[in-house]
Formats: sequence, structure tokens, C-alpha cells
Amino acid sequence: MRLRQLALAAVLTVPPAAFAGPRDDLLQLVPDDYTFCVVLQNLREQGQSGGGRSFLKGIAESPLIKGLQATPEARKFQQAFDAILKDLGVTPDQLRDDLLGDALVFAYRKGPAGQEGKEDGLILLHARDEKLLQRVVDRIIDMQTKAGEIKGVEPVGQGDARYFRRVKSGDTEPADFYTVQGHRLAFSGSEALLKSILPRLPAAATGEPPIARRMKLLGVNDAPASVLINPRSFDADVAAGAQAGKGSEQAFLKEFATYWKAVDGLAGFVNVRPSLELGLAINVRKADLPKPVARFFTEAGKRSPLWDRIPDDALFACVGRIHFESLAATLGGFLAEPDRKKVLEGIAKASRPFLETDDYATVARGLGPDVGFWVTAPEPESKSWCPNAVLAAKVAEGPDGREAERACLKGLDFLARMASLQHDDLRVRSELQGPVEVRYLTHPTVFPPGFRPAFASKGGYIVLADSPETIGRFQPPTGSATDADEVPILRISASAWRKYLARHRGPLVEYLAGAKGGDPKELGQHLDVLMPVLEGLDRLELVQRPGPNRVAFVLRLQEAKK
Amino acid sequence: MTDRDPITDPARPDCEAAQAAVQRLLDGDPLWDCPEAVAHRAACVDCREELALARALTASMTAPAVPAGLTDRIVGAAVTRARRGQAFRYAGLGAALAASIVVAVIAVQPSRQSITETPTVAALPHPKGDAPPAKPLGEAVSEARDALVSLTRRTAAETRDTSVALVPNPKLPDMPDPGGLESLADAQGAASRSVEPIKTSARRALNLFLRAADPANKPAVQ
Repeated sequence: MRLRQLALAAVLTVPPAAFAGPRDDLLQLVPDDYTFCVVLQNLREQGQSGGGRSFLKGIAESPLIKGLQATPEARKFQQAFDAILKDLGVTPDQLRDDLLGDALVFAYRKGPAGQEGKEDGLILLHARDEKLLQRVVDRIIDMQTKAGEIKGVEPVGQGDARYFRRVKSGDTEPADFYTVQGHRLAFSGSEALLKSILPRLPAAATGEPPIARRMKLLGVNDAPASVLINPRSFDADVAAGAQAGKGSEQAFLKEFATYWKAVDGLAGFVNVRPSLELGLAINVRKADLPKPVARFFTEAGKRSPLWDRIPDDALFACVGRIHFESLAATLGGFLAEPDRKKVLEGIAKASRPFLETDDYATVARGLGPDVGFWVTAPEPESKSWCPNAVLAAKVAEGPDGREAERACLKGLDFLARMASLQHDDLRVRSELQGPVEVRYLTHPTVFPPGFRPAFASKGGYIVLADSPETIGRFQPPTGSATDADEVPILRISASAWRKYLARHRGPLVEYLAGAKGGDPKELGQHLDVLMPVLEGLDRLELVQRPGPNRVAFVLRLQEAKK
Repeated sequence: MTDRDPITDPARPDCEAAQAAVQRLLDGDPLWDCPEAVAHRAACVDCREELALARALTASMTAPAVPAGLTDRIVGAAVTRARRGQAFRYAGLGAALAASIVVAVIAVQPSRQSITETPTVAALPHPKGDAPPAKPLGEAVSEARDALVSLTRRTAAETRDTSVALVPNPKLPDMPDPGGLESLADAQGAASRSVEPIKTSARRALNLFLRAADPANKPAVQ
């Protein structure tokens, strides 16, 4: 029987979120030594709520997608999918609600090292309509037997221990095995694996299955779709890798092995409510990580006060808390000593023109951890289409901070003057904004209108911006970093882009085409492809969700408000 | 070297013969395959995947539907992409993400035909022993899967091209090379190696589940 078709269909449709009941009934059957486990849950509820999503509607109406829908591949897929459903005698709604709507689980176990072929897998389905499930299974067997794809089905065992062997037509094709008991179906290419779960198959889950507990710890318990990775399944591979190679290759793999031992769980996941989210979650024992890494993640897990200075309608914003000293120590751990020395020598050579000290640790300690870059649309009264941009890095108080500030300003001045040597008419100028000296570059033709890259030290921050005026508007934050359930890292405002492009599309396209040497008309068409997508979207965000012994990175697509 | 020379992925130096064969297939060469490529594909999942994609692509292009120079454009686009260098290497990740969303959108858009057929299908489920379908079920599933793989890759490529076309690539002032950073190459290689077991297992897992949908005796090409 072709239960894998059902599995495939599940992958092809928008995935789900769920009741713990049916899902946990299936998860209790997954072997503890799984390698990957894919969990799809609650497709019914998610599917019913997703029809009117403006973002997906926007994508569907994009010229790019309309074009793709007319491609031979899309037509072929649609025809094949329709034909499969018709042959099975189920409607798309029945497939989504009555067959796949509760829970679907795929579990995979890799083979031992050197015996990769000894892998096995298990497909588990909990269907709401058990009669429909049995009918579809019978139909698949019937169709495949008539088509000669299988020779037939042989029952094995009795009662609850009964299962079926599907004998393939090809003489060399191995048989596979399945059983249907009430609402549940189990399918495997491995007879031993299927037999091992039979005693537990008819029973509802008692207590919390280990995988369900892991999902909670990872923060993906309610995710409609998730892929769990069991780190212990790769311990032997990682340990073997750490013995291989030489020099920095070996140093990297050994350091990686240290980190890997501290990881208890990994998961990729998708959420569709209240927004579409794609994420990666990691359970890690922070106490077992090297100290610099633990420090780095502790700092990165706080919300930077720079976010208070970034307008909600920024076209683009990216802010992080980067503890440079621990970052340098972390990265250094991945290199062999001779290579670490070479890298430091390279940095010393590059920074010699403007760094008076050889003590890089001083500079690393003096800079950060708050660093941010953001772009906003030009002021409404501005005649320029050129967006405003700011890059700001915090400078620590005390001698280390002063040294870092001095080094940064010297370095920027050095780069500005070097650029002026390479371009005629490029001038380095300066102006005073109160006590703040701002240096900036001008050129009559190379830069877009209004663009005069500038830098300064202001209010404890090194600031680079598109113009001295933007530096003048920058108000350095005075607050501190705060703990938060969700720490923003990156944000792109689609609504701001819509407004910006509506006003400045023409000159922007002209400039980009000139800069890239392309055709403005063609470039404009590329923009037109994106516009319907922007219509349905309010913002795109990348956030971090810190937790006890957990870190999760989530990409979120926030729909436009209707 | 011309734009039509086969491009060998530097990360896969052993795949040259198989990639050249795929190139010949796309060019319509009836003698596209060779024993060396066949032997290599037996052990290389990447090359089997690329061949499957190329076959799906060529199968879907009937003669009247292929605009003149389409193959040249596809190959040209691939060459251009391959030469864009590392600056856009990670654009693929975003494109793949976009592609998966797009594929989901297409997958859940019911065709007009299926809407009108649905009530009939629902009212009259196939009784056991009904006439066999026009196409064996395994074959239909296999076709749907291959079409989806091709569609995903096409979507990823077109999304990436659109994005790359809009991203400016400013020329930065020339900087003196401080040296020393070449030491990072070993670590970069190791970074790739460190996740290789996971990537390999993931690929095998996907193959294990998808291969089950193939008709009997069909080679395990995903």
C-alpha cells in the first residue's frame, strides 16, 4: 500500500499545529534513538484559517508566481496531484481534515558508521476518520495490485500483533510493512521496527513521550510543523571527525565536538499563527559551553537600547549586542595556535596605520556590545530619494573605551583620506555640531544626491551615517540593555518600503540601473514582481527567543493589517 | 572557456564527467551519457538529483513550446549565477525560503478543474474493484514529486535572480592585503565538514521516504 503518498501530500500542503492527544499517541511509538523526527500536527485547524491570508494572497498574485503557475512543472504537479486524489476517491478537504488533520509523524534512524544502508524509518498517521483511512488503504492496495506495482499483501500475525507485508513486483525490491489499527496507521520498510511498536500501537499515550518533552524544552510544542534532530545520533560522527585533519581543520572539528556535546536538542519549526514563522531552536547546556561562548550568548540575549532610537517605519534595521572580546576568544578557539597568530599578525598589519596600541584586547573590550545599522526613508521635505542610514557602535566608558574610540576615528579618517586619493574631486570635510566634530566626504558626481558619508563620536557611540544631518538627528540612547522574552535582531518594514517606492521608484531605478550597468526598464520589472508581495506584508523580523538552556532564532513574516 | 563549457562545482571536483553529461542532455545531444558518468552517478546523490532535474526539464519542454534559445538562456543564466561569486552565496538560503513558501502557495491553490470535480469524487467514492486508473498510482506520485522538485528549484532560481538584480554592488576602495587571513581557509573547510554527517543523513532520510513512492524497479533517483 502506498501510504507514503499520503505523507508526500502532507508535505505538499501547508502544514499544521495540534492537540497533544493524537500527536503524543504517535510520538510514544518513535524509537528513542531516532535521528530525525518530523512532526506535523493540526493541519485541519491551520488549513481552515489560512485561506484568506493577505500575505499568501499577495504572493499568489505576484507576476512571478503567476508566471510559475503556468510553467510545465506547476501544471504537471497540479495534474498529478488532482489525479492522485481522484483515483483515491478523496477530496482535498477530506485529505486535509479527515486523513492528515490530526497528526503525522516521520521518524528516521541512521545506520551505524560504515553501515549507512542499515537505516530505517517509520511513518505514523493518526486519522480522524478511521473508516476513510481503511478505505483509502484498501484502495491503494487494490490500485497497485492491478497496476502490477505490487504482487499482493500478506497478513502476518494475529490480533493486535497483526500486520501486513507488501510484496513488491520487482524480484529485488524488498517488501515493506504496515498496519492499521483504528485511527492509527504505521508503515515501515523495516519489519523489525514495525514489530517493535505493535504492542504500544493500540494504546493511548500514558504520560509524556520523551520527544514531546523535548519539543516543550525546545519551545516548539505547538508548532504545526517541526523537524527534530537528535544530537546523540551524531556523537560518533562528530567524535570521529575531531580526530581527522590537521592544523586548524582539526582544531575546528575538536572545538565543534566540544560544543556538540553540550547540545541536547535541535529543531527547525514553522508556525502559522498569529504570524508565519520559520525558526531554529537549540537546547544547549550553557554551563558546559566554553566561558567566552556563554558570555557571548548572555550578552546577545538582551535587548539593546538602540532599538528605542530606531523608528518603527525604518526600511531596514539590524541591531545586536556583540561582546567583541568573547567573540574573538570564541573564534580563536576554532583555529590552531600558528594560524591564530597569523590572523592576528594580519590584523596588526592592516590596523597599523591608525592603531597606536598592539593590545587588541583593549580595543575589543572598549567597543560594543551595542551595535546597530538602520535605514530610513528620506525626510518628507527632502528633495533626495537617497535613504538615510546610520551605523552606531557603543563605546565603553573608561580607558578601554577611549582607546577604542581613538582607534575607530583614526581608522575611519584613514579610510576617508585613502578614498580621496583614489578619486579626484572627493573631499574630506568637517563641521561642528555643538561639541561633536563630524567629518564627511563630498563628491559632485559619484555619490547619489544628498549622500555625504559622515562619521563622528557622539554620546558614547561611534556613528557613521549617510550625511552629517543624519548624525545630527541621532540621539544616543541613555538606557541599558534589558532582558526580554523576545529580542529583535533584524527588521524590514514592508509598509515603509511600499511608501518609499511609491514616492521614489523612478529615481531609485535610474540610479540602480546606472550603478549596476543594467536596463532601467528591466530593473523596474523586477521591482514590480515584488510589489504584490509587499502589499500583503507589514514587516519581516528576525528575533531571538532566549530561554533556560535554550536559544531560538525565528524569522517572522507579519501580515499587513486589513 | 566559453559560456557553454560545463561548470564544475569546485566543491565537487569528482563530478565533472556527470555534470558534463547533464550539460549534453540539456543541449539535446542524443549521445549525452557515458560509462564514466553512469559509474559516478551510482555513488553520487547530487549528480543523480541533477540528472533527474535535467530530465524533468527536457521532458517538460515539447518542441513547439520551447522558445528559441531557451536552453542557451538557462545555461547562460546558470553560468552567470555561477560566476557571480561568493557575494551572493547566501542569497540562495533566502531564495530557498521564498521558494518553499511559493511552492506551498501553488500547492494549496486548487485548480478550476479540481473544484468542479470535487463534488463528484466525494459523492462517488471508488468502490473496490473499480476500473484501474489511467496511470499507476506510484507513477503519478513519482511524477508529482519530480515536478515539485523542479518547480522548487526553478522558483528558488528566479527569486534569487530577482533579488540579486535589485541589490547594488558598490565598488569599494582598494585595500592593501594584510595577509594572514588565508589561514582561515582550513577552518572554513572544517566548518563544512562538521555538519556533513547531518547533511548526509538528512539527504538519506529524505530519499528513504520519497523513494518509497517510486514504482517498482525505478532507479532510486530523487
